[in-house]
Amino acid sequence: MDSKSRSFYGVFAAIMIFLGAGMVLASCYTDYDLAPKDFDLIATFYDKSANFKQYSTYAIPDTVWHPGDPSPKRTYDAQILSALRTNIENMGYRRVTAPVKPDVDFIPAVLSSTTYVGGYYPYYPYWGYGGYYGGYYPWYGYSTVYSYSTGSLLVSMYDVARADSVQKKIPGLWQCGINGLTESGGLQTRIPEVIGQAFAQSPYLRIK
Amino acid sequence: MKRVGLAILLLLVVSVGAYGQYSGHNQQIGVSYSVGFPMSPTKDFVKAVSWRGFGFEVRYHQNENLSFGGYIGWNIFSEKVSDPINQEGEGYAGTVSGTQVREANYVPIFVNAHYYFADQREAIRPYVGLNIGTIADMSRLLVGVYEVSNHPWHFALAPEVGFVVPLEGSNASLVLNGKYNYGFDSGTGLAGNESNAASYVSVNVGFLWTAFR
Repeated sequence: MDSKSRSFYGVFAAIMIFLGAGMVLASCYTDYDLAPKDFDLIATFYDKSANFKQYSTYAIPDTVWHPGDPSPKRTYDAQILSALRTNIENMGYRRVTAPVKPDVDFIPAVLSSTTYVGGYYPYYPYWGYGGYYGGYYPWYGYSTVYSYSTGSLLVSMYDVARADSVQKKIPGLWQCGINGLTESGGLQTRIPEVIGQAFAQSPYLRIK
Repeated sequence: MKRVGLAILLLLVVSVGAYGQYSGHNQQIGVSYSVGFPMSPTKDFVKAVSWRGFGFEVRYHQNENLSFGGYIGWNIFSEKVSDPINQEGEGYAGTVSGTQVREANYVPIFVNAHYYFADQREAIRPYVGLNIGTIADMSRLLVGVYEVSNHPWHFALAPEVGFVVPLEGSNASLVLNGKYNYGFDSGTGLAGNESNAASYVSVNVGFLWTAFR
């Protein structure tokens, strides 16, 4: 074989290997074997100026709020409330009920539409449902906007002593968003797991 | 992606054009398989070794000891992790947890110079080289149903050491080299990292063919 034809085969082989390597690499894009639970997203935020040690009692409604949903499915409400109460009490808070005024109020809500939270947006303009004040409060404190999809669980913790009942505003201390929770499968085990994770990643809430 | 495609096309066109101009010299083209070892700060984003990579190069030999050329490659770093991401802003702080898929795609596009310590008759030709150019970075982070991505271009340098082993009776040579690829910081990284600099060591093994003499 003369040097020119050897060169030709060399160039040809190089091009083939280059194209082959590209195809092999492209086929290496995997789906990473993601299961439904891999799509759970648990976000928790807190007010950096809050001193959680000053609080000791909490209130929580007996039902989960389903804002904007005229006929909510309450299949998982009891399980959500139970998991929340267990975790809140594990952090050292003691539950009180009216007429005793709590230090903090936890309000759980399941969203019926995609919702944007944050940016000092007064998200909860309601004053007439659940909680110690019988109301959901505007949420203040975050400059980042997060989007939560339908079926997400949002739990907010408010400082009751600083509620302004005239302006109907109350400062938020902590917020937890669990994305798309009630829209996916395997909830019997996932609800306690993800609510447990929300508190596990919020160790600053612990008061004892 | 369009810009990367354009850059690749440009490099190929320039390479082909250069072939014509340098046809009197000893020119080599090469392909290599590339394994990538992430270094900090890439390692802060993806820790896993990349087994998915390849490179394509051309070398125009000026004399026994010196060549100029170009290199284009692709290294994919990826892993599935569940490390929580901490976020902080004015007045608030927080944590986001969930399964994350982290992916860093680096496409280094370099011009380079190589200096060989032995002439072409030697069985093993050790060499050193310096690559300069850009790393096209296509990184993405998937958390839950969300995806964020970054597509910066980094000014990049890559010092290189290696060996060329000419295969007797053929116009091919084996090549083994290591490069420290560093694409300088050009913004904020994903997953809360302060720097998006691309940094990895690539170990490359492949063939060089003498295309024309």
